[in-house]
Amino acid sequence: MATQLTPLRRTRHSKLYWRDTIEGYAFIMPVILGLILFVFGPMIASLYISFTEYSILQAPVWVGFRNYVDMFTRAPLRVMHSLWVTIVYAAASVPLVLVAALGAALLLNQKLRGMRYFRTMLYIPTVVPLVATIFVWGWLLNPSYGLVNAALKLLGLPPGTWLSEPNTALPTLILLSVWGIGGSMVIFLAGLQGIPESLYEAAKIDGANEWHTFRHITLPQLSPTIFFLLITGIISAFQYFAPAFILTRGGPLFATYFYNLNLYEKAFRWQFMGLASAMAWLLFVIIIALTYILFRSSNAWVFYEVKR
Amino acid sequence: MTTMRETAPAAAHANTARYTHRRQLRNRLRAVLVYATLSAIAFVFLLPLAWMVLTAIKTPQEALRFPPTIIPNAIQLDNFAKAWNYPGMQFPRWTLNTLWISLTVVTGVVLTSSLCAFGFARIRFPGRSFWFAATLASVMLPPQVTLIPLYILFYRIGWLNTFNPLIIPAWFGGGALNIFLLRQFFLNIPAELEDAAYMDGANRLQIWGRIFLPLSMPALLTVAIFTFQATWNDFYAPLIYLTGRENYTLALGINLFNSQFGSEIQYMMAISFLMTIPMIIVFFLAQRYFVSGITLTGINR
Repeated sequence: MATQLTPLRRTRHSKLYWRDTIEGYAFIMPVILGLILFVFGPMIASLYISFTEYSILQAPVWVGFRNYVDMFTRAPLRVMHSLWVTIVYAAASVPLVLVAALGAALLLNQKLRGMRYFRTMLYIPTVVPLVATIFVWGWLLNPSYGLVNAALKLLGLPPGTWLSEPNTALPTLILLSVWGIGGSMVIFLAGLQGIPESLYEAAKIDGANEWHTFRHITLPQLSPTIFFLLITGIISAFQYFAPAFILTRGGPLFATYFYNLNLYEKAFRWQFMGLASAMAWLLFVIIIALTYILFRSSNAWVFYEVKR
Repeated sequence: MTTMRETAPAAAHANTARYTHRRQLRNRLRAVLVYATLSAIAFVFLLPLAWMVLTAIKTPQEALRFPPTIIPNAIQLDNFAKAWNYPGMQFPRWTLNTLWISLTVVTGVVLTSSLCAFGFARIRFPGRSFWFAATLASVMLPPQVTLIPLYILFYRIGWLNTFNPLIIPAWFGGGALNIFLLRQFFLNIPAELEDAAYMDGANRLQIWGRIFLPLSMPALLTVAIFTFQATWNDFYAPLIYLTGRENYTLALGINLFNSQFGSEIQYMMAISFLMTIPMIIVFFLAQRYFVSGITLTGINR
């Protein structure tokens, strides 16, 4: 039946062509409108606003590149400082989460009974609403009443300062990111289960030990997964906001003044809409550049199976 | 000769027996190690949630005791009701707001992303790859780039402090990743089903609604659940667009509660837990979609 239909359609080519075009655009109309109204249009507007001084209440005033120059040169704006905080966070938390998620997935991938229950337990923190997570962490790490310091005291260790001291606040937030490995862990598990068993059997016959099979089979086979998680991880690390906004308010002494928190304050506390837009574009350029570098490097380390 | 013939297999047998025995022992040791490590990790991962509940049922005095008691001396179950009805807070209303926003967003996302995915997967037309690429590229765009113009737009048309800025954009395609996921799923539906329906005189909208949607339930549920979770938990967008307390979502409400009565930690934990319960219920009802849905994206190959 299907083989007969194809030539039938081709003979009525032009009529079907127009029908397909009209219907095709009708089906994707929501996303076309969405892209124009909520993406491309605002992008152009945002680019314009980034070259102005604008507080919403007054008309925008063209200032050329001043916002862009100010970002790099005016220290009190703390744009470079907040960018640095965000880069440190991303550079530490993205690899940390990847390694922890891969480790957990490797454990869960063992053919043992009850793994499903462990998978559920390790995934649950991902389901808990972010604000609830934030408040319970704040409570657990409370320097005077928190459970964590109580446990340290019980073990005879000195109490931690956690979020209350400038030099420990950012490392604490980095450490807390491990709690959210659930999503990456499940993606790794799916990747692990997609590796053909025959590869491991062949390696076993060749006498490879476990480290060798991990290094030469598991890791290359997982490299597309790692690549995907690396890119999405970096993009979301640069969006970091709520924990810093709620728990530390960027402090103490701006130690957790993340880029996105800075941008939020510039826009909605100080009404520096032009500067905030310029900051958003700098963020965009950084994300594009990092993704480009990763894509370029991916030829060297991401292993894609040739289809068929 | 005869002795050798008899002993050689016997010795080999003894060897393999010893070998399998050693291997069994090693496997068992390995299993114990895996279970022990996983139990330790699970303990650390579930500890915050457990501590949330344990603090939520303590008296104010016991909640602030140091070192803390693990199991409360006097269990205060009415903390949940007290937190829920806390004077000056509007948790019942905020819950309804959050529920309304989440449900309308989920409806818009599922409906429009499946329409677009059908167009991208099943209809051939000029410009299709351009629009698909543009859709996917929008993932890279940080929301901050469009935030300020959109804020100004919503301000001009009087949408600030309404739910519209949170709901309406979800009805325009429902996000690139959802379109991508559903398109992947639609691509694998056999063309014969579609052709047979055409022969019966069905149009494309009917094929989308009567063939593709029913066949794609797992993928649609995955999209719906992840969208529901993300909207229920969202903090950033409500913080920017909702200014009046009566319009707050739960996330904003809890944050307000914390800024005013954060020292009453047992109520903070109680209300945090109440906000978590729906998510845990959804998770257990739809657990297989949380896990299988990620495989559906096909990103691992």
